[in-house]
Amino acid sequence: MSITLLSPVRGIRRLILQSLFIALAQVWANKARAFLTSLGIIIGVLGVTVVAAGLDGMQGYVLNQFEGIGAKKMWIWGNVPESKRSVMSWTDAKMSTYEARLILDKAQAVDTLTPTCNSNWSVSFGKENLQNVNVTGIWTAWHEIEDRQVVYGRPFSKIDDQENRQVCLINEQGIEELNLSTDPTGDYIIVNGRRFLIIGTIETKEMSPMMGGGQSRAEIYIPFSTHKMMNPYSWTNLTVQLHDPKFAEDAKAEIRFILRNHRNLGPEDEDTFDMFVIQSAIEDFNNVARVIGLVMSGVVAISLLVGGIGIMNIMLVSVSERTREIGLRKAMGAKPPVVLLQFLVEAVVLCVIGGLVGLFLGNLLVATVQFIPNLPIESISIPRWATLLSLGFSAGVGIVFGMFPAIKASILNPIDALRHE
Amino acid sequence: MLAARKKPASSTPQPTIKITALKKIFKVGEERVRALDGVDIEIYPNEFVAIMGASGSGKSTLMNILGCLDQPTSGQYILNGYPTHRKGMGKLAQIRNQEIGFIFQSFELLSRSSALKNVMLPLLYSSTSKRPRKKAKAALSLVGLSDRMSHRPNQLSGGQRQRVAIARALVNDPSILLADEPTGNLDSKTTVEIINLFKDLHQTGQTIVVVTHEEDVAGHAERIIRLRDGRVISDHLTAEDPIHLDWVERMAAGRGSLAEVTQAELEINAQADANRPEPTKARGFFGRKQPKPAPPATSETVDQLDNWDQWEVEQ
Repeated sequence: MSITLLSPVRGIRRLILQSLFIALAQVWANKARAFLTSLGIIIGVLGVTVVAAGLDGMQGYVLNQFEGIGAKKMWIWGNVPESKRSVMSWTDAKMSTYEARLILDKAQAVDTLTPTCNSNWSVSFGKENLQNVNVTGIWTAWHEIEDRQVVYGRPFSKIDDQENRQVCLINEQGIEELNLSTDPTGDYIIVNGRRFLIIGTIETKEMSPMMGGGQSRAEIYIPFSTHKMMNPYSWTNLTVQLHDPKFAEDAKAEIRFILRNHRNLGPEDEDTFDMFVIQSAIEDFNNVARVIGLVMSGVVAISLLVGGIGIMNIMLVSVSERTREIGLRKAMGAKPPVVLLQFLVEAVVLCVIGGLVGLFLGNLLVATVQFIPNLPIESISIPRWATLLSLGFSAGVGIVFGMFPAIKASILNPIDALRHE
Repeated sequence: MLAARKKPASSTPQPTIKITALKKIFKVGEERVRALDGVDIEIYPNEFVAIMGASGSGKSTLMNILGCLDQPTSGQYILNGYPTHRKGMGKLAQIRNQEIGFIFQSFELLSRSSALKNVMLPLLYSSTSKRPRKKAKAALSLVGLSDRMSHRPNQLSGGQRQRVAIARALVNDPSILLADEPTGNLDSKTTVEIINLFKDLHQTGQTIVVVTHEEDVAGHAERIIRLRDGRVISDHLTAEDPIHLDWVERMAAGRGSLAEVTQAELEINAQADANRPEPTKARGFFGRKQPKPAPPATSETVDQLDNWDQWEVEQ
């Protein structure tokens, strides 16, 4: 009884290759049956890929919308915490220009920022006189942060702010209400008793209702220092642009550190400021998308489960159909683990072929959808993780549901199997 | 070709097969069926043995145990000096693969595979096989089918199929070739072909055990072992086997049919039945009273059977 042992790894690899060939031959011999059997897996994988592609596309679309508002945007404002309302004045909590500069210098995640202060002042041009026009003081960085085109004239320059120049930008609504000419550049208007040179007009941005938009109104922008000169007590916010939305949490932490440090807040003190990041809204949306994804995954998992039961069923049929063959293979010296492996590999091959067909169909479907005109979702594609997941999942289904029939085949008694009719 | 592959028998040859006090008891419901009831057989290298017996005599059970497809209830089975009883399924599979060549009555070929692939099947499960294709081709040319390698079983005649099966049994160079009614599904002409193939293999040193119920097939073996009710009732060289000699005589005289029971067999059977010890627990079917033992067969009953046969023919 001379039995030389090859290295086990080589032996196992050879076994798996053999089982693979037998399985492929088996599938090829029963093409129609194999197709019908793996239909469940095909549909399941098709589901996975299409749902993943759809979710991915929708997420891309919505994030794009946010990007329009500025996913990189955040706001900071002074805030008197509830517990300090009786001892602290709102003026003490107000953001200062110094703090704005400090954040701009120190916070790594911050790309640029502008302080903004709003006042409702009377504005007049010639005979027209408007009360309560929203006049906002800004830095030049505002042009970078807000995606608003200067239609006529020029944007603000640094020198306007440094020299407290009395220049302004006005929006189309303001032009209309003040009865200015279409290109009012060079005209003078009176803002709160001071004479301002109009240096340009700025487009009015359609804001989604979610972001506090609505009826457009007359807006006038003046340099921040000019605004402060006219009213040093006006309330100030900071509008910040980050380098990247993914730095949102870092930026928050940095700014919090800088401001707390600057404002000498002790460990027990609450923040005397507050902030909001667009990214938070995006994360809210992402959470919703995740829930949708989970629900869809559940549906897909059920379809894969059903597909797996189909696989198990056909494998059981296959085992009982090929009982004699199993008996013969055992009589010829196939050990139980070898028989187990053969049927397991066959189930996995069925599932993986189903998975590949499903992937192909999914890609086809997604490619077709992209040809539909006027689709809000611009680019839709099956993400790589969905491809890997569905292939892995179908192989897993093969292993789980192929195990029982394979065990059944492997424990068959060779004599009974050979006598089986 | 095959002559060189077997070691020459030493002065005191070790038996290829040595079984002692082998018992196999099946439980069918409450009944315990003694399929094998204490069998002792020794088969030496390069013997050509026929195992005979009526259906129910236990010859198939013995064959399954000899082929390591089944395990005895008690007793020993030593194959090539290696005790095989009480081994696990995996170990038995390895023994079947390396040491035993199996030939079935119904060939048991894989219908979708070519002859060559069928012959390569045992090599698939052997860890030692190097150059399996070459080995399989050699085995196929040994049985004279080198021109049919790529044919599928359904493109081959019955005799050719059994040759493929024999090639498959030989491909792993087994120490013993076990054939279970190898000619049962073949016509008389192909039966002769297969028997001659067996004889050729025997000439080249192969140890062969054939299970059959046909006297003419058994007649080609060197030695005939007869089983009845799970016991060996006769174990003679073919040239000395009284039942076989009786049968040959009758055939020569042109009397009787192939399946007919000979007088010598009747006597031996009657003697074996008389020697059978009563079972320790005298329990009959479903615990009822022991049914009356059947009267010993006589020539009279045989004659009656003959008449009945004739009556059927006349109809």
